[in-house]
Amino acid sequence: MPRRQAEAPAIDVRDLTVRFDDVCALDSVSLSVDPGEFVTVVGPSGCGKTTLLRSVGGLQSPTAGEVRVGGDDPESAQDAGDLGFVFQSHTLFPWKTALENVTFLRTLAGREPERDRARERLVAAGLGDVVDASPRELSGGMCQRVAIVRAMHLGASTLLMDEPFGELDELTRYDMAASVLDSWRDSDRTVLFVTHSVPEAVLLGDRVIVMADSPGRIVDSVSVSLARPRAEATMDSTAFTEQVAGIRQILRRHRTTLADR
Amino acid sequence: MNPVRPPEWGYSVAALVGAVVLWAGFVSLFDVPAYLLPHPLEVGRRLLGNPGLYADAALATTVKVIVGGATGTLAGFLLGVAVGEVPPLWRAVSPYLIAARVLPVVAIAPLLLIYFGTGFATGVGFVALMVLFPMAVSTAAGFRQTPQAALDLAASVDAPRHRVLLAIRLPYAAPDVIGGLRQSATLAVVGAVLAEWFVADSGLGYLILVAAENVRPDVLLAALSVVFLVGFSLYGAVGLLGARFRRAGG
Ligand SMILES: Nc1ncnc2c1ncn2[C@@H]1O[C@H](COP(=O)(O)OP(=O)(O)O)[C@@H](O)[C@H]1O
Ligand SMILES: [Mg+2]
Repeated sequence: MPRRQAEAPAIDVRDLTVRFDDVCALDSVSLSVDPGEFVTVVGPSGCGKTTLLRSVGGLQSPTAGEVRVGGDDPESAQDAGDLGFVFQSHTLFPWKTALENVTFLRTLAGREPERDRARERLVAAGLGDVVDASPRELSGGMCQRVAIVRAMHLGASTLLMDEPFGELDELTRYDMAASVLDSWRDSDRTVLFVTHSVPEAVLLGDRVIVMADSPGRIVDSVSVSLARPRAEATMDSTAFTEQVAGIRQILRRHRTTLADR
Repeated sequence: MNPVRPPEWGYSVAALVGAVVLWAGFVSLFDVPAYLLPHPLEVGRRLLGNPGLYADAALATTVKVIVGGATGTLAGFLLGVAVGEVPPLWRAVSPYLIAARVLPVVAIAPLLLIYFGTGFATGVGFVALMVLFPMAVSTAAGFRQTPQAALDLAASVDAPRHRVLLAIRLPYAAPDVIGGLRQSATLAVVGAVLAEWFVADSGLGYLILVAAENVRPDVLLAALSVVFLVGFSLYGAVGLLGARFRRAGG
């Protein structure tokens, strides 16, 4: 795992503005994430969460402002294989097995595939039975699990996850959340995790970034004061319920109603 | 993205046999004179009576189909990759590519005669022209439909362009490329037969022409059934290739 200087933030976004024609997707957004921090982002759909993540990952160039990943520009981070993306749809290649999908990203990045290690990771993620299965044979949840293992296997120190559980049912979601927490705890990875589910954001994050739309902007940053390790049972505690309620209030306060437009 | 399925032999063979039986029944029942429509047995007798004639003709046609088809599909594939890979190029030439697909290539035939004379090259060139544009359009369409998320994934690790092209875009394009090949297989046979009409030197097309001039529908139908056999075999071979690729690659 590449160790960077302790003082440089893992992700540093300064006055980032992204405009698409007449839409201001992000309006002067600033955000700093410490190495090893798990930061979640919530907000209504269309508030620029995906745009923020894509900008951090160097897939979207800013209209104005600056993005740094590990003290460097996102392109250098891409080049160094230091960015692990997990998209909302799993983006597994249907002509490759689960294992091949996991190793293929490393090959694309010009690295050794490390098949044995990849197999171990799949087994550890509870996917031992489907190592050689085609994505076509797997459920959506399993595919997304493979995609997460793939991002881990890349060895990136920064993981960017865009509503990775968005297409999964409620029960599977929390299973997946638990397994993401497990693999994050054992590493020193930084995670920026987008979701539109407030409970999910609170369950996972050290910090919840709250966004609002029209224009897309960050309206608050809430530290989550729940002890780790967290599990599904965490969601039954009053502390959890209160944090969720607090964030929902913030969201409500900034909601643009149809009447405002 | 039609799934490539092996032909359902049983049904198609039954249909063929049925058609021949209907044909035989029709001829016998209405006592159709042989100079209009010969009995299928008569056609069979023609084929077996002089197998060398038909085999030579089939060989001449097949060589044109293979050489012209390979050249044309390869050129069409490369053109399609270039056009599918470079969006400005697609915007610039796709309307013409699509228009060229419906252009009757026969209209260009006289030009080929001027360039290449009445020889083998004209036949091959004509076959190549027949398959070039459909192949280019299918390939380009295939290369343009790589899911954006797959390209994003590759971009997120700064994957080199050639690797993206070969390892991601090509497999996603494969069903369309194979579709283009299947289309080309039949078009190439049609092209070869047409070319043999206006070059008129050898092959099944030439045999059909001569048979028609001499009012020999039995020879004509015998030659036509060989054309059918050549086209069907080629189409089947491409189909098997597609099925094999699908199993190996996806
Ligand atoms: N490529 C694009 N072209 C034009 N508009 C876009 C593009 N991507 C996003 N947008 C617009 O930017 C805004 C923010 O989008 P997005 O970042 O996807 O929001 P979220 O992920 O929070 O739902 C939306 O209004 C969306 O329509
Ligand atoms: Mg989004």
